[in-house]
Amino acid sequence: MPEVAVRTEATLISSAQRGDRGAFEQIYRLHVGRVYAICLRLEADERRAEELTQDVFVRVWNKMGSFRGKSQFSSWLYRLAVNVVMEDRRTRVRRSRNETPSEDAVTYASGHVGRHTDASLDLELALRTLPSGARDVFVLYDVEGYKHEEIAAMMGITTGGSKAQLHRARKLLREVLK
Amino acid sequence: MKHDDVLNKLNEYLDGELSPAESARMNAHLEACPDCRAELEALRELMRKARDLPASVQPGRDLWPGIAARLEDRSVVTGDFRRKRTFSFWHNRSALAAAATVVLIILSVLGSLRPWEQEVISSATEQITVISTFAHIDRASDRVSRNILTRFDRHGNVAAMEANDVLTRNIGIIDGAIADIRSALQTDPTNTRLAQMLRSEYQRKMDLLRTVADLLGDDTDTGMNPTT
Amino acid sequence: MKSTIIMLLCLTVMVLPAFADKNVDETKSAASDGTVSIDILAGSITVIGWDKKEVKVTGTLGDDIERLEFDVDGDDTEISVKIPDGRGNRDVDADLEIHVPQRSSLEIQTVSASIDIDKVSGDIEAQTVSGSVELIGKGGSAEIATVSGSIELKGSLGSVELASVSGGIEVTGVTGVVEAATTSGSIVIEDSDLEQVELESVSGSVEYSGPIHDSGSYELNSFSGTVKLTMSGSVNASIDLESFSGSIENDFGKKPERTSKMAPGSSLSFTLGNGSADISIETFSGSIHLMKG
Repeated sequence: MPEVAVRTEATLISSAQRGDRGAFEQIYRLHVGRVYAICLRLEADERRAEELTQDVFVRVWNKMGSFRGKSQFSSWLYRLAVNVVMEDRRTRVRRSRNETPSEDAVTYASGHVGRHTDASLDLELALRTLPSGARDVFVLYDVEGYKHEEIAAMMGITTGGSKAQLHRARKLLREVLK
Repeated sequence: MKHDDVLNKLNEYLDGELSPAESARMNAHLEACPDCRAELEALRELMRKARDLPASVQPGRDLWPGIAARLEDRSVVTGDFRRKRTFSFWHNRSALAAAATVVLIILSVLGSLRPWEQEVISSATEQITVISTFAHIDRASDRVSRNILTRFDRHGNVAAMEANDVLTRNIGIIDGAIADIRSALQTDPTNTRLAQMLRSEYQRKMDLLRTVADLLGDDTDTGMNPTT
Repeated sequence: MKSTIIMLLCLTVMVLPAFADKNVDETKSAASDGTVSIDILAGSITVIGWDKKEVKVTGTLGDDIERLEFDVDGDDTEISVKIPDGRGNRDVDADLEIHVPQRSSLEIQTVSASIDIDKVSGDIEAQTVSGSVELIGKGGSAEIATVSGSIELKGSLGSVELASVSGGIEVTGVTGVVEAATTSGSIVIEDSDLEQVELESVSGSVEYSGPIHDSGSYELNSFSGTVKLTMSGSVNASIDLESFSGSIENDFGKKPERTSKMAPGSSLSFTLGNGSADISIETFSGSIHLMKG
């Protein structure tokens, strides 16, 4: 059964590479949840996350031709998503370092109550209060599972810097969630 | 171990980054110290919560229409290796000379492909879009060759001749593989692995032809084509 | 006396043949993580990452090269050579050493120049016809395509995609994800710590030796070439080996079975440890060797 699903995705990918928008839409539907989750947790802002998600898929469409493999499309895609978020950061004025949960956050949280347990809801909200550097590394390391070397490369910092931000993030989150 | 040291190193301990000696010291301290154990547990709990966050979150509205509107038409698959810039060195005459002989191969190969491509489609177990991609390479090569061949530099070029040889030889190797698979299919016609192999070899041949086309700077707006 | 010497020196310089290679030495400011594109026909390209927000180009240009073109436009730096139109352009070699901000991404194209890249952590894309490529990775991704050049990678890299027609591919001591495809070249991966590997060749041999990650996926295919997988350390993997007419040799005990009455081929599926990794090897006529490392 899983083999069939994989083959279907491989077919979708080659069709999309040939310009088939219908196939690309299917790819979008399969992966938009993950991409949006990544953007949302990194950006802590629904509107920004929606814009970035769209940017990601436009970039994926443009870069489809350079994807030549079969089995790691999703990791290629999610990595591209992180890169899009990071690039976007560099071209924007940075927001203030200490953010408080916005109105949006509360609406978002209550709207998604069904999907979260109490514990994870708190964590989502707490994440938003982190300064962006610490939040980035926490999301990429503890939530998404990237390694420090990969995070350092994606964010343009050192591996040591990545570790420091992670420790800071965990410490802050512990405080906030006490 | 002092408490401050422990607290600082708990993260590294949890991430598996301490040396065996340091881990052993940490273990020893943790056995004896309930406060640090509690801290460790709290950190573990946090990491568990992080891992358990929902992997995907659906956006509040359908983002597809916004995306669809921004997608440029792509009837051509070009590797993203080349950005469309007007100053590509492929526009230099000497580079074109190198490339020109390569184009001639493509044309001659395409010429020899057409007779049996029909045969292949009917014997493969899946309808693959071989015909349409061949047609694309065909059109692309026509366009490229019209421009290149008019400026063909007959002084010759070692790089061009070597590339020529390599490509001819390797397309021949792939053709040999394709022939082997097809004769194997005759003795074992329902063998799906053979059919998959056949499709892979066609794809590879296609990729090879397309890579060469890419190298020739076959972008639709390279500025080499005055008209479509 | 002095003025006579100076005049003599000047005359000597003026009389020297005009066929010396031109030297290049230019530096421009650039973004710390922009894209540097390099397009030359032949010669050699050495790219080294450094911690300055500058791109510096030094080296020599062949006689028939008019000049170096070196432009910075926002985040993009473009380096190429201007060759005058006309016939008989023989000496078009450019031997360039290019320092770039270490977080730059690279896009390099050449027909026959050799390419050496070190200490660059951005995304690296390179295309050559016959030029060789040597890359010491620093965490970025790499996409390299060549017709007959050889590709050698070391270091740590994100995702790696390599394609050659006849050039050999060697990956040593790399961490990351590697996909490599060649028609007649050979692929050798050793001393590397890879979680995902997809290797294929038509007539070339494919060799992978290294540890097998519990959650890894390893696919090695060759049509008529030999495939050798040497696994070191403890292994947890579901293993699937298939060949239409080639032989299968397995250090891990189980013997292959005939796939069908009609085909001469063999297949072998078995599990090591808890079977968590996926290993798949397929050939048409090439022999398959599964070995303990």
